[in-house]
Formats: sequence, structure tokens, C-alpha cells
Amino acid sequence: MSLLPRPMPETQPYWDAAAQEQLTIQRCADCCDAYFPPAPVCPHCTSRNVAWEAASGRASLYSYVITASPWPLWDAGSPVSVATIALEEGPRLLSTVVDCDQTPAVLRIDMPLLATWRRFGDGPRLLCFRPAGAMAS
Amino acid sequence: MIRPGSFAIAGAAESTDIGTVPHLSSMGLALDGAVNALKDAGLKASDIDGLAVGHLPVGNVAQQLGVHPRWVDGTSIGGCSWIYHLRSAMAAIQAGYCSTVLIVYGESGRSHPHLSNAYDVGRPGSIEQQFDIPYAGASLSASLFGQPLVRYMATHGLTEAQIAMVAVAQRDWAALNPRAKLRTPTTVEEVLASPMIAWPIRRAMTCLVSDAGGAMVVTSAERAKDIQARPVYVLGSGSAMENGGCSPAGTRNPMAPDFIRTSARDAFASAGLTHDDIDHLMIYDAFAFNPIFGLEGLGFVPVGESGRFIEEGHTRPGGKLPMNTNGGGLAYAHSGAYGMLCMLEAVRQMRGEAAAQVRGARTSLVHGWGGFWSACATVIFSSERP
Repeated sequence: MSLLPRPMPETQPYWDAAAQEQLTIQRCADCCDAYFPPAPVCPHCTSRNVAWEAASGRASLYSYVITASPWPLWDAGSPVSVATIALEEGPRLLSTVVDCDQTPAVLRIDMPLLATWRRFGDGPRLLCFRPAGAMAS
Repeated sequence: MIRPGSFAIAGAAESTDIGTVPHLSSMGLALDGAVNALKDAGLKASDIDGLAVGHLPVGNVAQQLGVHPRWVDGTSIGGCSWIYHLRSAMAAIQAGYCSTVLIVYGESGRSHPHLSNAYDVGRPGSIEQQFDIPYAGASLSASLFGQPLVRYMATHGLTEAQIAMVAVAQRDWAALNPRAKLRTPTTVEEVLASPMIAWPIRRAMTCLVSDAGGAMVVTSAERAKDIQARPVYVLGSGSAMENGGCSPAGTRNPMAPDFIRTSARDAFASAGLTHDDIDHLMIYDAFAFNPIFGLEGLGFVPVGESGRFIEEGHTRPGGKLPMNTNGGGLAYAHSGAYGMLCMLEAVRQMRGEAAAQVRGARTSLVHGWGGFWSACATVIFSSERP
């Protein structure tokens, strides 16, 4: 199991944009649904008529746990959130909430979040989220 | 349509040893369980013409057992794979593809987890490897399985003490089972004092890491009459798949997943039974919260009320819905993919030979998960042919 993402042809555009700290998702031109993770076919209507678009980066905290053992690569030294994030555009994805205390008192269900990016080791930039309104570190 | 009671489990056994078995790999545990199941049935390898194996190469198992199947199923969709195999085996026998299927499981989750296991979460180039694994941490299973839990707690008021109570109830069952790993009764306070794995999930809410194998023989109820083991009949079954990644982030309705209801609906409908007809229940407990979601998804308890249901003791010894009576993955054994062990406890209960036998139990429902809220399968057994 490799801990750093290994792109495949269908996901390369996502990682190319990520390298520029741009969050991209896909949208179906036929049914207009936005979706994630990347795929060449719309999961709602099976259309191939899909296109990449920049996501707003606005999101909310759908749910989470706080792992006591983040990957050593993260060099965290303390527990870290593993979070299901609901993007403003609709899709949910797994990420982490950074730039705040990693405690249930601070990590509130449905709290507004903004996309931000981090590098861990030699890996590509990884999508993370921070509380909306908090200053980016 | 498969009529209730037209197929039977005609042989069933676990590997001779479970728990810590350093002298066997996953393959060795699988073969040991298979030999025990054949002995239980009084069958030879040459009597088997269908073979289903999850998470191990089915061809290797066939070769090493000396089985020459004309039908195989290598479906590997996580812990419920073997329950799924049972469904497929019945369909294959009904179709005439084979007559007697051996379903085989073996997993050295504790001693040799990296040898011969064909179920590889996070393969390079997979969606989950790119978008889930980087965040999950070393608590991968808790991090991923646990995702819906905190939102559920915020929505329905489920407390950490109620989650802990699942572990307490199952330890009461384990205390009655000499083969269980953890047999000392525990308390909510003890569970809540155990080390944090991934808040709110603590070690005592987490399954064991074990070595185990097991197998069962499936054949028609007619053919089962000629087999020495006491048959246990299959009344109905269901299965469903939700997603392929290991993150439940994309699951529709994560707090009350549709796929559980689909599997349960099909199982009850094919059995022609309702919830009140079920005497004994096995819900795969990789974590203490899995049965909470299972009780509701299967329809035994209204959504949001499982915490209280567990707290009231209904699943404990003497309760109205005895659940996970071997002690479960939390206290009996859990080698990574627990579905076969769930079914084997149900078979023992239906035969009347379980360590913690539920008196008078004539029906048992088994529900297993695959991946992290990715797939599930359900089967209803009975001691009697309808």
C-alpha cells in the first residue's frame, strides 16, 4: 500500500490542477450533475459528455473522526482529523481539516470550510480544508 | 427464485485453531477449515464440484485441496464475500452448474497478514489509493468505517457510552464461550478508558486481530439428506453493493445506507419472514458501532434508536434479540474478513451446538459488511425445513 497518491490517466487532470493548488471536479454536460472521484463517465446518467471545472473550494464538514495515529509522513505529533467533506457543488470526499484545534469542540458538524493545500514529504499537494473565516497559515 | 429451504449447509467448521496460529498462513488456515468442513459432512474432496473462495486465489485452493471444480466463484468484496458466495452457490446449483459447493475462508490476520491475501486495499492506481488512503492514517479501518458515526451521534444523540455498551453486551456472550479470546466481562467505564484509536472510537470498541479459517458445504436440501451432518436450511438471502472505494464519503445517505435496506429487503422477502420471526442475529462487528447501523438498516430498530435498544440489554444473554453470540469480532475472533465466522456461529446455533446456545432458536439472520460500507450480504438460516 503506497501512502502517496499515484495518478492514473483518468485522474491526471485532477493532480495537474492540484499541483497549482486548484481543486477541480467534473460535471456532466447532459444531466448537469457534479461528481467526484474523477471518472470518464457520469455516475448519474452514464454520459461521456463530461468536463472538468474549478470547484469554488467552499465546503462544509459532513462528518469526521480524529485519528490518534496519522501517517508518520504527516509529522503531526498529535491527533489529526479524517473528515468527510461536502463540497458546495454537491460531491462528498475524504480529506482533513487543518488550521484549527483537532477536537470535537472545535470540529463542529456542518461548519463551513475552505479548500487549502499541503505537501507531506515528497508527495504531491494534497487537498485539505480549513475553517472558513480562519486565516490561512 | 430460490424457494425457502431448498438449499442446506451440509457441513461446516472452523479451522482447528483460531486466535494466534503462527504455523499457518492464510492458505493453511483455509485448507484446515476446508478439511474440517469436509469431515463434518463426511464428504471427500472428489465429492465437491463447486468451489468459492474469497481473498485467496481460488485456483490455488482447488489445487491444494485436490478439488476439481466445474464452477468457481472468486468474488472478493471484503468481509461479506462468503455470505455472497453462499447466494451464488445456491444459484449455481439451481442452474445445474454444479451440485455440491465448498465455500472456503482463511486469513492469517495476526501472524502473517502480508502473505497470500489477495484482498489488497489501496492498490496503486486505484481511486481509494489516491483519494482516501493519504488521509486515513494508520487507524485506516476506524478512520474509514467510522466516518458516518460522528454525524450520526450529532443527529440522533447516540452517546459514547451507548457505543461502549455494544462491547459490554458482546463480552457477556464471550464469557460463555471457551473458544472466545476475551472472556472477562467488561464495563462501559472500562471500554471508555481504553486507548483512543480515532475519536470517538476506542480500542475496546475495535475488533480483535486474529488468525482463523473456516468452510462450509452447500448443497440441495434433497442431497443434504444423504450427508451425515445435521443440515441447516437457507430460507432467504440478499446482497447489495454501494461503492468501490474504501471511503464511505460517496455513500448515498451514509447514516442510514440504502444498500443495507436492499440486502435486508431481499433476504426477508425471499425467506417469506418478518423481523419478529428471527430468533438469533449475527451482525458483523468490525467495530462496536457496526451493529448499531446494522440493526437499523436491517429494520430491527427504527433509525436513531439502536443506542437505546442496546443499552436496554435486548441483545445480551437473556434478551429478546440475542446478537453476536460467539462474542463477535470484538471478543471472539476477527482476522480481517469475518463473514464466514458469523455464518459458522449461526450454523452452530441452528444445530443446537453453540457454546452459548440460544434455547429454542430456530431462525438466524446473518449480516456482513464488505469494505468500508462498500458492500453487504444477508442470509437467513433455519434449523427446520419449511
